[in-house]
Formats: sequence, C-alpha cells, structure tokens
Amino acid sequence: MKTTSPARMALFLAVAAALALILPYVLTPYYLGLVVKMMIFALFAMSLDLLIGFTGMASLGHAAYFGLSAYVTGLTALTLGWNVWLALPAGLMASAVAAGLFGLLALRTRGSYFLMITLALSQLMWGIAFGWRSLTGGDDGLPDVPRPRLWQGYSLTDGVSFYFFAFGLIALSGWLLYRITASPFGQCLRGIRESETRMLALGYDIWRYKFTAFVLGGLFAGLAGSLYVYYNRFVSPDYIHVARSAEVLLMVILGGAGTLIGPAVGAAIIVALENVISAYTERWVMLLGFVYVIVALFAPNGLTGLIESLRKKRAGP
Amino acid sequence: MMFWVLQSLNGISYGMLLFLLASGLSLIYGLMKILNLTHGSFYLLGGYVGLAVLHLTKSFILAVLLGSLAIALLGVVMERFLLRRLHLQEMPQTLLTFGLLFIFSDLAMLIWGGNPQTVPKPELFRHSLDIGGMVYPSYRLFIIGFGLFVAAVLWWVQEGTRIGAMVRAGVDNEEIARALGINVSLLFTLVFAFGAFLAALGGVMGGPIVGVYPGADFEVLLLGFVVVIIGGLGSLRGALVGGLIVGLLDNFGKVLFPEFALFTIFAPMALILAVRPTGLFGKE
Amino acid sequence: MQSMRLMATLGVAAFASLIQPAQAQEPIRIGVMFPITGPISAQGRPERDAIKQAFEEENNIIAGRKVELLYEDSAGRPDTGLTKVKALVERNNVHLLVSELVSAVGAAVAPYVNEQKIPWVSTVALASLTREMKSPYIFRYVPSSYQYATAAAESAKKLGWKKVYLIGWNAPPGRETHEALKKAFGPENVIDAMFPNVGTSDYAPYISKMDPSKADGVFAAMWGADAPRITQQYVEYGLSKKMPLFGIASFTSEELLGDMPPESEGLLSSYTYCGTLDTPENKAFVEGYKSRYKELPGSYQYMGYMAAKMVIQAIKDVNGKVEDRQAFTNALSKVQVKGPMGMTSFDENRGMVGDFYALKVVKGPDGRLQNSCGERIPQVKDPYHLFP
Repeated sequence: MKTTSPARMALFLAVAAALALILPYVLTPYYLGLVVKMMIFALFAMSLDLLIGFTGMASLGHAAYFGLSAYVTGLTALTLGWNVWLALPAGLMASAVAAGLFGLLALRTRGSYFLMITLALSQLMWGIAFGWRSLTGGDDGLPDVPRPRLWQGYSLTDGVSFYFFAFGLIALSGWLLYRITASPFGQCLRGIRESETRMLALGYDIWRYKFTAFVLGGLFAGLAGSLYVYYNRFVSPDYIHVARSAEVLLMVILGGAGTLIGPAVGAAIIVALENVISAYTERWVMLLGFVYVIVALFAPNGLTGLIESLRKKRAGP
Repeated sequence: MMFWVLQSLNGISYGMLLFLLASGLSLIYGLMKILNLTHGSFYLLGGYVGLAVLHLTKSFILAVLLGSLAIALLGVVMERFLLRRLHLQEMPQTLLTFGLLFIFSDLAMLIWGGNPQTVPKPELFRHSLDIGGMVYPSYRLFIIGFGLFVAAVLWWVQEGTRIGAMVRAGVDNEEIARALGINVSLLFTLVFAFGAFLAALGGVMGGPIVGVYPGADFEVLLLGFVVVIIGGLGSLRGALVGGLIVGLLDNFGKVLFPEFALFTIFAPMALILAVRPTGLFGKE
Repeated sequence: MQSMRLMATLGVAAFASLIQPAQAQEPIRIGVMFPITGPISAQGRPERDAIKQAFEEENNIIAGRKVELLYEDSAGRPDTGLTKVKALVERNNVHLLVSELVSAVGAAVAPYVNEQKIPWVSTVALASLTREMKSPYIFRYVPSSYQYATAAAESAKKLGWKKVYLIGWNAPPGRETHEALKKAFGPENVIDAMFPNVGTSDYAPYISKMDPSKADGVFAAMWGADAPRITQQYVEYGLSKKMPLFGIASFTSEELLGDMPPESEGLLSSYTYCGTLDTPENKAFVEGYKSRYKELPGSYQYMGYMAAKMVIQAIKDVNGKVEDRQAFTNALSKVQVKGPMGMTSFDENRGMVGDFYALKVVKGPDGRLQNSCGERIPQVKDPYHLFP
C-alpha cells in the first residue's frame, strides 16, 4: 500500500524535523502562534481520521472530547493549581471515559444514525458546559487559565517554549497514530471499514475493535483540546459546539480521509483560510465554500487523493 | 385542563412545522442516500424569495408558490450539474453540500442583508381565535391543517400514483429499477427538486412563526435532522411522527422542566437512538 | 560663498524637514475587530461602519497624525477573536483597539489585552469587564447588563409596574437582567423568570405560561433575530393587548425596526440611543450614516460611533502621542464628549456613563416604525454598589 521507500521516508522526516526546529527562529511570534494552532487542529483532525478514515465511523460529535478535556485541564489548572503533568492527564482521562460511555450508546448505530447520535451526545455535553454556570462560567467560559507549569516555579511563558512543548506532544501523537494504523489492529479497522460482515465472518469481535478505536480517537482529540486551552488560555462552550465538530469533519474530508497526513494538511489549510485570508476579504466564508465545492468535484478523495492520482498518472500505466 | 390543551396545540403546531421542514430531507435520503446539508439553505432562500414576491405582489399564495418553485429550480440545477457527479460517494457529497451551505448563506447575506425578516401572515389568518377564554392564533391551527394536508398528499403520491411506485422501486433497489426501464436519472432530479420545493415551502409557510434570518439555515438543518433521525431516515411516516414527538417533547420539556431547556431536543434523540438504532420507522 | 552657505542651510533644513514629519507622520494604527461573517454580522458590520464614519468625519487625521484603521473578523467566535486580536497587536502593531460586541469573545480577549497593555475601547456589554477583569487598559463603551436592566426597571416603575415577568436568554444578558429586576422590584414581584436558549424558534410554550392577571408587564432580554420573533409570537397569542412587552437594551434598535412586524407598534424599551432625538449632533450622525450606507443607524451603530468619538477626543488631548499608553489611557478615562445623546464619559472603573431614554415604538410620518423618545434618565452609571 505504501509506495515510499524507507530511505525517502527517513529523508522526509529529517527535513520535517529540521524545519520544525528552525521555524521558531525565522517566524515572528504571531505566525509561530498560528503554526501552533495549525498543529493542534492537525492532531484533532488526525484523531477523527482514526474513526472516519480507518474505521468508517463518521462522527459529528468529535468536539465533545476536545472540549471536555479542555474544560478539565483548564479547571484543574485554574482552581486547583495543577501543573501540566496532572492537569493534562486529568483531561485525557475524562475524555477517554466520556468516549467510552458515549461509545456504548453510539456504537449501536451505523452510518447517518451514528453521525446523528454522536451529534446529539456532544450537544448534551455542550448544554452542560453552557448551563452549569457556577462551574464552567457558562457562555463566557473560563478566562485566565494559567500558563502550562512544568514544575514548581517553571512555566512555559514564551511562545517558543510552548511551541516546542506542543510540537513534541503532537509529533509523538502523530507517530503513535501512525503506528496504531499500521499495526495489525489498524489492518482490522480497515477491514471493518471495507466490510463489517466479512470481518464478522472471519471471527473478529468487531464491536471491541470499533470501541477501542472510538476511545483512542476521543483520547487524542482530548490531547488536542487540552493543548488548545493552554494555547488560548481560556475555554468556552464554543469548544464543544457542533460547528466545531463539523469544522473538523470538513478538515478530514478536505485533506483526504484515511491518510492521517491528509487531515493534518486539511486542518492547516482551513486554519490559514480562517485567519489569514479573512484580513483581505470579507467574503472568505464564500471562498471557503467554493474551495469545498471544487475539492468535492475534482478531488473526491480529498487533496491527498488528488496528489496520489496525479502521481499514478505520471508514473504511467 | 386548558393548560394541557393549549400546550398540546403548541407542540402539535410546532411539530407540523418541523414535519414540513423535514419531509423533503427524508424523501431525498430515502431515494438518493444523500444527507442534503443545503436543506436549511433551501428553507432560508425560499423564505427570502417568497418575501420578495410578497412585497411585490401582496399575495401570500403567489409568494408560497413562486418562492417554492424558484428553489425547486435551484434544486434541479444542483442535482443535474453537481450532485449527479458524486452519486453514492458519501464524503465528497458532504463536502459539496457543506460548501454550498456556506456559499448560499453568504449570498443571502449579500443580497438581503443581515437583519432578521418576518413574513407577514396571510390576511385570513392574522387574528387569534378566542375559544371560551382560550386565545389561540388561527395561523397555527392553519399550519396544523396544512401539515396534515401535505402529509396526505405525500402519502397519496407515494402509495397511489405511478410516480410513487417508481420512487418506491428506486428506494428498494436502484439497479432493479433501472432494469425495469424506469428512468432513474430523471426520477432523482424530480425527487431532489421536490425535496427542495418542500423545504422552501417550509420557509415561506414557517416564516410567519420562525422568521427568516441569517443562521436559520443551520438551525433548521439541525432540527430537520433530529426529526428525520428519530423517525427513521427515508420514512415519510417517520418524519410525521418524529416531527410530532419532537414538537411535543420540546414544548412540554420547556414548560415542565425549564432548567433543562438546553436538552429537550437532543436528550430524547440520543435515548431513542440508543434503544432503536435506526429510528422509529427506519429500515436496517 | 554666500550662496554656498545658503544652499547648505537649505539642505540641512530640507534634511531636517524630511526627518521630522516622517516621525510625526507614522500613522496611528487602530484595530477594529467585529463579527463580519456569521449570524451576528448583522450587528457587527454596521457597528464597524459607524466607527469608520467617525474617523472619516475627522478626515482620518487627528492631531496632525494620519489614522489607519485595520479591520479583522472575529466571526463571533471566542478563539477566532483571540487569534485575530493577536494578529492586530503582534502583526500589525496597532496602538489601540476599538472592537467587538460578542460577550464570549470579549471575555476571551480581555486577559490578553490587559497583559499586552493595549488600550481597548470595548463595545461588549460584559459586566465583568469593569469588575473582575477590570484593567487600566480596558474601557467599556456600552452599558453593562446590570446598567441597562436597572435603567429599564426604573422606566417601567414610572409607568406604574409593580409585578413583572421576565423572559430572557439563558445567557448573561438574561441572567443578569433577572438579578437587576429582583433588586428593583423585590424578588417576590418577579412572578416568573423564563430562560429560553439563544435562537429558540418557538416561544409559544413560554408565552402560554404568562397570565396577564398576575403581572403588569413582561420584560424581554434578548435581541437580534429573536426580538422580532418573540414580539410576533407574543402578539399572536393576544397578550400584547393585556400586558405590555418591554424590550431590554437594543430590542427595538432602529435597524431592526424596518423589518419588524407591524404588530411591534407599541413596544416599550429603554436604552442609551433613540434615533428620533432632536439634537444637532444626532441629526449629523444620522445623516452622515444614511448618506454613506443608505440605512438608518441604530444603537449598535451609535455605540461604535461614540466609542470612536471618545478615542478621537483622547488622541487630541494627548496631542497624538498614543505611544505613551499611560498618558493616553489617563486622558481617555477623563474624556467627556457631547454626542448625539448628550454628554457621556467613563466612570471610575472605565465603564460607560450616559443618558438613557424610555422608548416606545410608533408609526412615523412615512409609515415606518420608529422609536419615540420618552422620559430621559440622566447620566446612568453602572450600579456597582448593587452588583459588586
């Protein structure tokens, strides 16, 4: 399935790593911040890709885990003064538990029904964040979340150190996701995506595989959410809203589901459009709409699908 | 007693409105397996066009007809030139209809501005009825009647006409329908246009209650999905029952448990799906 | 020789003149961020346009310095808004901000602005901006929720209201209005307070619960698309004849009135802007806005316009030296401007102080709905003593 040789892969990784190390010293703080935002959404999109692209479960409620983890990390750091090593895992635990509970309900359904039950569950979570004002601050959310504190007396105060912190965790997650999808477990997920009945006939306990993928997806989404709360230093119900779930779904499809790298690229493109293009035109929403339409018509497998087919064409029959 | 009658009427009239919004969505999914994310845009555009006609002609009936027909035409164009190329490809369909949702909402903002508009009611139903001290708006009673009328017409078309039989054949198995010599391609265009027609009809008829405003597209889309999913995708009966269930639950939920108003729509939906994974009347 | 010296002097003078104005001519950069896309852009765009108008009236030159407005779109989303403010501050190096109207965006932006020490005239009605989040750099030029609700209660009391209903958004405006009404009328006289969600499409269940024999009137704390909708449904259920509806804050803002249902006639409200007020400043404001944008301005436009006016006066007071933030924020906190609605200023917490008017929707001479300006409540200040 993979056509890249190990040597080329190593070269690619080396270039990427070198680029990542240089970036903080060539970019201004604002653009470095934007890169961090792109990386966080790239992780968020990759976590959803595990469900959509690899297992065939299109979720419209993925922001639930992103937001829950953000709230837990933000709240524990804000009110209990927890440092990163406590607040971050607490957020991840919460989103994994929520994904487990929601998974029990959602995995009873398939296709469009799955899409909608995940939406309903995430809207319930949004309702709690919005309505439980004494804890969550309601509509206005929780401002002034402290900077990530690594140990007593040392916090990540500047953009560069936060960049390396986020980059390290996101690169590690990307690697883990790659290993998961390349493992026999990942092969099974693909098998489920292609045909559940066949996998069932082969004797696989597909529910267990789907459930594990669902929880893992929630866990990585949670990490993205917790990083995002440290990045913005606030959390609000907007983190959980259906608009965000839809946005990340579009990132995955735009980039190309089932490729990990595709959704990451899709995330970077949408973040860039939203934040850079909007300074030049008021009609960027329409522009984004046209991008979706054009990609859907001319690259139905997403941008990575387009590149793949172009490469095949050039390689000849 | 009066409380229960009044609140039930509220719930039923809102439910009928939801049925109008959702029926087209269900119809389109049933035949074409498309989750049409522009359904709410059809509602919004239908409302705006209808309103423009109303201002020009002062005729509510013309507004309803022309508004709905204009959007049906838009549906024809969309199906023929865009959706057709992505038959049964779920993900690009999602991307395409989402993109169009963005484009339509920005276009509407460009043409009609951002201020919320209200569609004036037809003269005949502008007044409230006073039945033994209970004041009830006649327009809402009209909506209940109109919703039942639309349901009856849809049922008759589906069960009693040739075209309905063709649609049913297409829903059951597209390949066999083609083999039987049914022009499935034309059928797709017709059904999609009709779905758009129904959504726009909801926009003009629902306008006097819900209003026409930026963001309505997304809100209506969500409500429509909830109704269709609870009832079961592709089922007309499901859309009707789903609409009534959501209308009544939402109404009584808000009245009896006001602190949980945020959950009156989505909690029942999650529960119903957990118990019946394909909705009330959906097929496996 | 003589001529050589003259030439040299001229040369030096020319050189000096090249440097001096160059320093003075570096423009004052002002960040203007509003929701320009999404549903709330209906209010965001016009408010931004009115800010533009205020600076155009100065020909974009204040105290000899050119003014450059840099626009961004918050989309009404807190995280997007924060990123955009960072862009304005870190990429465009703006000297100050006149921005925003969505309270969640305001809450997200405030800590950053305070940390960066960027003067920000906020048009966000968030009460906490001049309370918990109080900062020497943050000014709120729009009444806070406590402020407008307390003023509304005062107006209603003058109409003889004693017992009231409240229907308000399940969000800070609704909740804080509830607090203010309980203080003003006594908790037992707020017969029922209902909190529908923002964007509720059917208010029938709430409206059907209201009993005209139990209260003198109903307060509605919501706006945007929800204001005309609840008005229409309220009239539909025949309640408007028995118990008047009183809109809070921008409920009957002029730009909405054009599209409000005809049944809105008779709606009551209370706010800091009344479109028909007969003052030369208001006429100039309305005419200026109308000639530019072909629409009547409402309260959102007024807030943006006045926030800009306050900034303009403060820039004049420091003679264009906005780089000295200490001096500039000091000047801004002392600014007094006579605007379309009379004198306005900032209070000790840098919240807006200005006159309020009791408003009533009436049919104008051209048949369009408009606000008639009723009793004036002079110099309304945020009631910090009641709501610390």
